Amino acid sequence: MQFAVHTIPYTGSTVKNMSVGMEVEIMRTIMFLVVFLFLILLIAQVDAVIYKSYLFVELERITRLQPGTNLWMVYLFLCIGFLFSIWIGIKEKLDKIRKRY
Amino acid sequence: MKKLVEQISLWQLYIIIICFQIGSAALVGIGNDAKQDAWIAVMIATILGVGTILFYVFFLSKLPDKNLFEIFVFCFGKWVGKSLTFLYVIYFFYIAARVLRDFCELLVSSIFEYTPIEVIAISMMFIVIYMLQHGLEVLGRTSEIFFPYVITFIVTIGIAIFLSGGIEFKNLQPVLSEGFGPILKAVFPGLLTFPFGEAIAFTLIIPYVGKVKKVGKVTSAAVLTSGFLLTYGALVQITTLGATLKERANFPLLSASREISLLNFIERVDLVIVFFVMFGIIVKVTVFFYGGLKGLELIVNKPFRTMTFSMGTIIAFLAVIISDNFIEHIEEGLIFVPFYLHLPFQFIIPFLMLPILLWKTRKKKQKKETSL
Repeated sequence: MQFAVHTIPYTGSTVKNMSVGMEVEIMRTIMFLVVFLFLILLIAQVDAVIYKSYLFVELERITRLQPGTNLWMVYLFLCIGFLFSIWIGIKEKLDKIRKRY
Repeated sequence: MKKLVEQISLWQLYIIIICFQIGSAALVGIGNDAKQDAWIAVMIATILGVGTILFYVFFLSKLPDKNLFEIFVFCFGKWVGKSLTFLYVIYFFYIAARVLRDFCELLVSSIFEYTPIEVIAISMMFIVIYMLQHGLEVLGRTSEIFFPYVITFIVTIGIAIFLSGGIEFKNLQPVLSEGFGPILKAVFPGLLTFPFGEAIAFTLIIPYVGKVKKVGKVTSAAVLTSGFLLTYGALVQITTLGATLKERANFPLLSASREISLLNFIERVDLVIVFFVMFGIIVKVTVFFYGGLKGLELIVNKPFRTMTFSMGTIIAFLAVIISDNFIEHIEEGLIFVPFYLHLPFQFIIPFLMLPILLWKTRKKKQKKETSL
């Protein structure tokens, strides 16, 4: 495992960070969340304009998991997509480490 | 980042544009504001559509080998360019979800009445993800295979309705009874933005075409062909159903095809409509989804293939929750989307950007000349 030496500001003392080289590539996961958030907000805003309602009222309405419907299927699919975005980041990082050694 | 070299031929581009523009436009019925003159409105919009796509090609020709998002970065710098790209990503994903919902509604109301819409959305998205995972070339080759069937079915449906005696040419009259007013109302912004303005998504595909010099001619020919097919479709719908029924029907072409009854044997050809609409929709969702992914590729600086599945799940999710029912879906498509999304992203931003692009490219050229 690779150790990075960081200098603590103003003190001059140094620490070894053992987690360097193991951190996960999270850019895709962040983008997943940001894109999802913006799209949900857009859909809620469209509904708010159409129904002359409020953004947060519509946001609550569209994201509510209504019992008795099949909405759980797309929620489950979305969760798989989210986990996949994390997994692909971990995989990439592990590949990088493997290549390094 | 290692760039993947993808290339599609001019013929494939031609086919993809036709399938893309026919896609959901053939399904939902267009130009309803013009009533029985909808076919004239579609013809006028086609000419404007050719102008629109030529504008996009001109835009791209200023910086060859760069797509729309890379041009944003060139014109506005990294931060503003990437922010603008992100807005386009949201726009492309939203439209992809809308188009997917169109198709889900068609299937649920025509052939899969007892299947949950969620299952259809997820299944369709799997196809799109699989296609994009293998690259743009797969989309081109798939289109090549299915294109003859799409054209044959569209043409045959009109002929079959005619032979079944379902066509009433009187439904086209009176021509221009209220002048050009309703036609212009149908064209601006309705027909201009949907389906012709949606060709903005091709600004992400055109840089991957082999022979760049002929792109202008090919794209114009493709828009003219799709315009001709849409005009033909509108004529078939009006003559079969009449303007009022066409306006009321959720899927006018599907309703018109139900008139087919040949030799007391060839009937219920709904599946033929579903087939070519399905292919058009797959192409359309794929192109919009690809556009969005290319934007993310630029922002994140990672190959788009690593994001295809995770972003695809978002599209499937949105396609379901985008509206509670089909009426709301259509209402949003008529009231909100053309004015607040299509117009800014298809026309206003590119038009405002053009002077900056021309100025920057001239400056770059001058710099090159002086350095020589």
